[in-house]
Amino acid sequence: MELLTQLFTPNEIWGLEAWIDDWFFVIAIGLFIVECLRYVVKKQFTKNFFGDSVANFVTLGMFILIVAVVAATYAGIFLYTYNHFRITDLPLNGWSILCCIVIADLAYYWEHRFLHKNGFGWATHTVHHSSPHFNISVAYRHGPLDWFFPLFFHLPLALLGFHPFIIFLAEIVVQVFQTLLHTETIKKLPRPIEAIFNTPSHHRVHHATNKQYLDKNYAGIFIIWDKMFGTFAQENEPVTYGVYPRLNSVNPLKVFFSGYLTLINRLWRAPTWGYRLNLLVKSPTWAWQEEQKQKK
Amino acid sequence: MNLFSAIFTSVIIVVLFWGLALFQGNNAAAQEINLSPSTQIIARNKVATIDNKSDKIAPDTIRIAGVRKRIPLHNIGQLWQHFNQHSTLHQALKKAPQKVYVLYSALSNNYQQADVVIGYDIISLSQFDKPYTIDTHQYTELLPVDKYTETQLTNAWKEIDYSKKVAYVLEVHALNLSGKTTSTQVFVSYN
Ligand SMILES: [Zn+2]
Repeated sequence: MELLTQLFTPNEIWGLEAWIDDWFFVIAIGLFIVECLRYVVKKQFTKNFFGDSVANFVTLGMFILIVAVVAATYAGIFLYTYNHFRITDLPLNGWSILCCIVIADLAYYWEHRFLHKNGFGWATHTVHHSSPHFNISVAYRHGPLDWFFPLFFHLPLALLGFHPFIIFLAEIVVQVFQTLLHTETIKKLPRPIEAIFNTPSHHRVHHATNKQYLDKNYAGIFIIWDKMFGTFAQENEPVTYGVYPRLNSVNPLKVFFSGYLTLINRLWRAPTWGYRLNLLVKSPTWAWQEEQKQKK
Repeated sequence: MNLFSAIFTSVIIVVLFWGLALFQGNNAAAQEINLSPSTQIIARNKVATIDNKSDKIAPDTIRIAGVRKRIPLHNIGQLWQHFNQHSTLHQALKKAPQKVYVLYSALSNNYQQADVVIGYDIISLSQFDKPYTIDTHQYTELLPVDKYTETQLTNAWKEIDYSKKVAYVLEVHALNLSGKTTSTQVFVSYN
C-alpha cells in the first residue's frame, strides 16, 4: 500500500515513462529475433517477410522523426490544459497512475474504434494494418499521424486532474502492453486471462481480413471493453492479415504514405461531393464495398 | 450495445475510476497530517523555552504571491503539489527563494477549511499575479524557528486561542539552496 500512496515528482514519472519505453524496445527486439528463428525453423522466413520487417522499422524511424518535431507542442498542450483548466488535483502516486491506466485504456479503445470508422483516421492507422504478416515488428509499424488522434481522446484526462506525465505514462503502458500481442508464437493463454485481457489471439482477430473479424477487438489492455460494447470476436478460424485494398509492397515510403495516397486517390475519383464527405466520415469498409459495386 | 449506450457506459466507467483516484487522493492527504500525541509534547516544550523576539518577521506587511485555493485543511498536501508544479511562478523567481509562506485565512467555523495561499514574497519575484498582503502588526508566535514534522506543525494549531477570532495562521518555511525546508516558524494573528 505504501508503494501506491508514495508521492512522486513529475520528473520521476517522466523518467519512469522513458525507462519503460526504451527497455521495452530492447525486449521487443529480443523477442522479434526469437520469432524470426521460429520462422526460419518452420521454413517460413521468406524474402517478403524480411522486406516487410525492414519496412516496419523504417516506418518506425520516420514516425520517431515526426514525433521529435511535434513532441514539445503535444506535451505543451497537455501541460497548458492541466495548469489552467483542471477541475481537481490528483496526487502523483501509484493509485492515480493505476486509475489513469484504466481510463487511458478505455480512451484508447474509443480512439482506436474511431480510427477504424472514418476515412481520415484510417489513412494513418491503415499503415499499422497493411502488413500481411503478424509479428512484433508490426507493432512498431506506425502511420504519419498516429500521434495526432490520441491527443483528443486523452486530453480530457488532464481536465480531470491527472498530471500530463501520468497520462503519458499510462499511454505508454497501454502501448507497450499491445506490442507483445503482435505474435503468432502464442496460440491461446489461460482462460481467465483471455477473458479479461487483450491477448495475441484477440489481437490477431483485430488484424484479420476475414469477414467476420473486420472491425473487431479494438482493446488495448482490457478486452472487457469489446465484450461490453459488442465489438468482440473470438479467434475460431485461421486468420489472414492485411487490409482492403491489398498493399502488396514492402517499400517503406509506400507503406508509410499508402493510407493518404489511397484517400487522395479516392477523393480525386469520387463522383460527387457527398461521396467525398462519406469517404472522410464513413468507414473504409464502406468505401471498399462501394468500389466493389462499381467494378461489377 | 448501441453506440450511444456504449459511450454512456464509458462515461460512467471514467467517472467511477476518476472518483476512485479522487477518493484515494483525499485519503493520502489526510494520512500525511495524522495527529500523534507524543510529538505534541515536544512541540509544546519548545514553544516554552525559546525566546521569540529574535525572529520577528519584518516589516509590518508582507506581500506574497503563489497558489491560492479554499480547501479542507487536510488537503494541504495537494496544494503543495500544485505549488511545486506551478512552473510560471518558479520561472518568475529572481534567484533561489529563501522563504516560502503558507497563509491560512478565512477559517471556517469548525476550523476545517480555509483560504490557503502558498507563495513567495513578491520581492523575490520578477512578475506575479494578484499578491496577498499579510498584516504583520500583531501576531503571536505559535512555533519558533526550528525543524518540525508535519505532525508538529499540525499540533501547533492546538496552541491557538480559539476564544478569539483568528485572522490568519502563517507558516514561514526557510529554504536552503535546493529548495528544501530547513526550518519553520508559525504565527497566528487575531482580529
Ligand atoms: Zn487497428
